[in-house]
Amino acid sequence: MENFSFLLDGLMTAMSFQNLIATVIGAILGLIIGAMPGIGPVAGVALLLPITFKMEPTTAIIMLAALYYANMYGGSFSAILLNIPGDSAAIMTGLDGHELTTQGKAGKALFTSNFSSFIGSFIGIIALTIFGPLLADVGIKFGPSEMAALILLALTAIGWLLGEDPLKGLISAGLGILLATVGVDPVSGLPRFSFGSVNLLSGIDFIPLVVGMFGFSQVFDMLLAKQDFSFMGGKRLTIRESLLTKAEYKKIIPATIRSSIIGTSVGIIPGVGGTVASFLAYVFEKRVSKNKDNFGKGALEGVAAAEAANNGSASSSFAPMLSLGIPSSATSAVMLGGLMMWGLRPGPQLFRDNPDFVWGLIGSMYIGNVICIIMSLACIPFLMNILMIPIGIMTPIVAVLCIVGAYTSANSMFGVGVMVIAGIAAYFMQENKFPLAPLLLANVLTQRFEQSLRQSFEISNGNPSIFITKPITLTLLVITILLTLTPVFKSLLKRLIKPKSVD
Amino acid sequence: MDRLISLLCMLVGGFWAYKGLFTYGIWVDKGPGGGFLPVTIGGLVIILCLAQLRRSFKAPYQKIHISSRLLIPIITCIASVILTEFLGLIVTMTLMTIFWLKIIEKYSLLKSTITGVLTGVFLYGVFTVWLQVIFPKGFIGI
Repeated sequence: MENFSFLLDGLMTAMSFQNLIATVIGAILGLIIGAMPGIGPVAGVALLLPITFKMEPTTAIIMLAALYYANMYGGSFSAILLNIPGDSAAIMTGLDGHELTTQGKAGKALFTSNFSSFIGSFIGIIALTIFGPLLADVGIKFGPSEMAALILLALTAIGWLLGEDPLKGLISAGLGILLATVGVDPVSGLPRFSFGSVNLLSGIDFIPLVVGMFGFSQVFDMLLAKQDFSFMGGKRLTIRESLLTKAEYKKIIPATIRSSIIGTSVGIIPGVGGTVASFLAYVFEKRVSKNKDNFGKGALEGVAAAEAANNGSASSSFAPMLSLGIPSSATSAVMLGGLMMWGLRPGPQLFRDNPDFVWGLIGSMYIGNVICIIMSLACIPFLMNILMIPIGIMTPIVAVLCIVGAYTSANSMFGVGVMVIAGIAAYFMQENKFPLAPLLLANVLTQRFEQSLRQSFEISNGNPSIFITKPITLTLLVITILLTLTPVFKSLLKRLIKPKSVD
Repeated sequence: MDRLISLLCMLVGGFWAYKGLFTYGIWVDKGPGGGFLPVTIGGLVIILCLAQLRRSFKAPYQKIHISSRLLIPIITCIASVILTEFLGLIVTMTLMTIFWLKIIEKYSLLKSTITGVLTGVFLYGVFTVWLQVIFPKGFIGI
């Protein structure tokens, strides 16, 4: 009840003219930045942080928060239309979303993405409002061993999930892990695989890598005219044509709700973030869906699962950030820096000492979510126009965006070099059916996994029993083992069933 | 090509495992050292690549064909990196778009120029004016 009255106060704060304008501007900027291939939410929030410096803290964080979750909406546009994820969390969206685009159903994919994003965000914000402090308490119980087990669960599932060939998927994931070890050893602080280069000391920058692998490799495809972006055949799509049928709603609503809950729960766990959320929700949905064979080939449920989880996680990740001061993603880490810049101290005291700020932010998220869905839907016909541009014109523009995006993130031509090499490697890998998504996802998860694993051993003084004596860790490890052994069980079962059917 | 990729991945895995084992250490001070992941995952990549190689030798041999058009983006990128030093990034990207459209895609000079200039204006407006990203400016100063 107390929270409800705080929320009403917060909504009043958020409804002030100044804060409402900040929400609208943040949402517009977020949608545009999110839709731009290669920029992503981290760069977007980081670049806008100095602009908000002169604002009042509540208004500033409201604008940045709107930018952050509008980015999640926008990130799916380039993933669906161009197969270039705006950020790593949108990789899963592109799997089915871009397939739908190639089938001429881009409008439906975008509508599904927006609808699921709205539901995901809404559930995430409700969870943050009602259970925020309580769920954050559960999240804080995740020590290094639990975190290592959770990331291991995500890592082991990657190779088996994606691509027609699990062996190639695992090689790809392995490469992703190896590339993630470049930089500085997270425990000792000593350079590792940096080959004497100053640019590699901070590791291989994720944005040039992702822009190269998903963007620049497409330039090769476009040049060889293997990928035709003029799928629509000159047909203009309208919002009406993008709307889903009753049967399609029936398909995506359960997937959206399930994935929103998964995403919201994952978002509350400190340090996990939207990439793991969308990935876990996609895996789960692929397993439980009646339409599982169509996943990766243009399933609306795939888009719904990834986007609902991504947005649910983005909203609920504010709980550990505000109440515990622990960021759940690189973007919330930038926002945490912003809070400190304005003299606020995120932690349990923030709710007590600055209720106007915290509840104003939460209130603005409800309003911002409604603004985001309206604007995203209104943008569908405009974004569909991208598909009308002839492939010949698109090719140099995509190449230019890749170069500029890679330069912007690394602020040097080194980023462009990484992007080009990643693009060439990705093109040949794709040509030979080595899936790229496992590489990128493994790359994102590895650093945190290694850190958690090594911290666990430090805590236990080198005793591996830490992984079996803690109930959460043990449960996660058992699930990991079961998931890993599933293909083995399946093939054994097939062998056992085959002779019978022959008889 | 499948074999070549497997071989390259194997080399990467081998190098990572070697460096992990002899430079960074697998087990340091009662816990995994900096070489733990490189050795375990590098080793795993080698095993997986060997399995992939074995499989590829069983499959019929496919001749490698690489189109010369693949060199276009690579050469363009190298040229743009060099030109950026003198002309700045925005101008280089504008010229790159114009030349690409005119020479490679065979569009008319007018269409190529309009598209190139619009691309440059878009980049300048979004990145330089709005996001305030500092790009190399070159002698033109944009």
